[in-house]
Amino acid sequence: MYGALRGRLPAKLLALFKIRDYRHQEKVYRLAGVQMMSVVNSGRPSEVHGLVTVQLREDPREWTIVDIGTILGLAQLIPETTDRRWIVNSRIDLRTFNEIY
Amino acid sequence: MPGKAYREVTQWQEKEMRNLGRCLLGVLAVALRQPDNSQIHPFKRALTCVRLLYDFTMMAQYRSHTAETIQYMEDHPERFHEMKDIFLEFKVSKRMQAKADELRRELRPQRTLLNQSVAKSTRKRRRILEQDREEENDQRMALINAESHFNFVKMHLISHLGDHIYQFGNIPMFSTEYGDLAHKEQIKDGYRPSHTNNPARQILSSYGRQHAFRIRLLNLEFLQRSRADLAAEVVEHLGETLTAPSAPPVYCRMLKGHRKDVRGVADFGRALKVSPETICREFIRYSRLSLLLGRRILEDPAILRSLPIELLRQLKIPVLAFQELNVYDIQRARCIGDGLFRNQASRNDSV
Repeated sequence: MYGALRGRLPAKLLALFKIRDYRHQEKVYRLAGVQMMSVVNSGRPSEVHGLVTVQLREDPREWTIVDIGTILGLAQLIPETTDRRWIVNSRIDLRTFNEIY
Repeated sequence: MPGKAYREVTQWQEKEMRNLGRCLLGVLAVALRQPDNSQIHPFKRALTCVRLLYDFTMMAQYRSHTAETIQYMEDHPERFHEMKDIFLEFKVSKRMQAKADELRRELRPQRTLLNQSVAKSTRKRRRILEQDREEENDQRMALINAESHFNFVKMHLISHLGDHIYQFGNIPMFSTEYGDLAHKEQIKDGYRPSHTNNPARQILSSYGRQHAFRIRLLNLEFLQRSRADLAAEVVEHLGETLTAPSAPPVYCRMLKGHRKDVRGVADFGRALKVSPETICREFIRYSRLSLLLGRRILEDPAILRSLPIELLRQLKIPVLAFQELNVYDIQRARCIGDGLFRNQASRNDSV
């Protein structure tokens, strides 16, 4: 899934929040509002530079709510042409380099 | 990210160079993204070359290897050596530059004389000038290709790192960084309390004494833990100096930076410039997709709007360090919204 990204997909963080549900013994949900991206070229790394390109979705839904547990870490995205398309820098640290190829 | 242009920095520190390396390939990929017909081949070679070299340096930092990673470490330099001549024109020594300048100085007067006699019209003269410039460049490149080289020790050394790993183990073990760091503790901290006149002996004895004390304390601690018979004053002293072993830290995601102006869905929507209807719709969607049946949030917008919300600015994410079992790097994802981050532009990180 998502090619070289193997099931991970970059997103832009829009909000971090907690919501308290008083009906369920004060259960607290720790959530994030994100704007998801989509992979270009099925997530295949470029033959030349070996990096994956992502872009903002054309989806009319502006943001999605996810649990903060699903956020795996920071991603470094280098803007390509406009503010809608980025290159995922997989050489930023050893872990990312080892997982995205 | 470095704050200055590459050529503006006169001396790069090791850490700065390492940080630059991390984003070099991505930045280069963006800079060379739209080549014209004549640039396709050299750009491709340059990018492949940088990629091979940087992938090699990444793999050289591994603390454990497999036959496959060592094979990569042997293949990458080989392919790099095949393509490195694309950077030859930037490896011009001062001697080579002087030689090229001299050649240009010799040829220019001859050409000027020749052109004056041949070309009458301005257009013709301009065309001849352009031809001359191209010829000059070709000659310079021929000279560079003939005399420049990457034949120096550091460039050759990378071919042997694969064998080195087989024989002696991983590369970071032999890093000189540890020696650099020890300089502060072993030399500089000893120099400061000395009377600075012929301080070598004082530095050595000061460091030796502190080191001996530390070893002695560790030995006593060990003896105390193994219930050895120690003198009462020693036990008392150890009780004063030793601290209780702290519990291992618990790593979990943490939200920080509470914004006091947001209390409910309406404030939340105002802060994010999203309508409360959209927020409720997304809550319901999240609840249906991610929560168990009995734990779902009620799908009644009136109840949803009454739930208290806290908006936060920072998420601390523990990420397990590469090839480690209990070492975590803490990453801080920031989400400031429209506000300024440290008096700079707003910051909404990518995750």
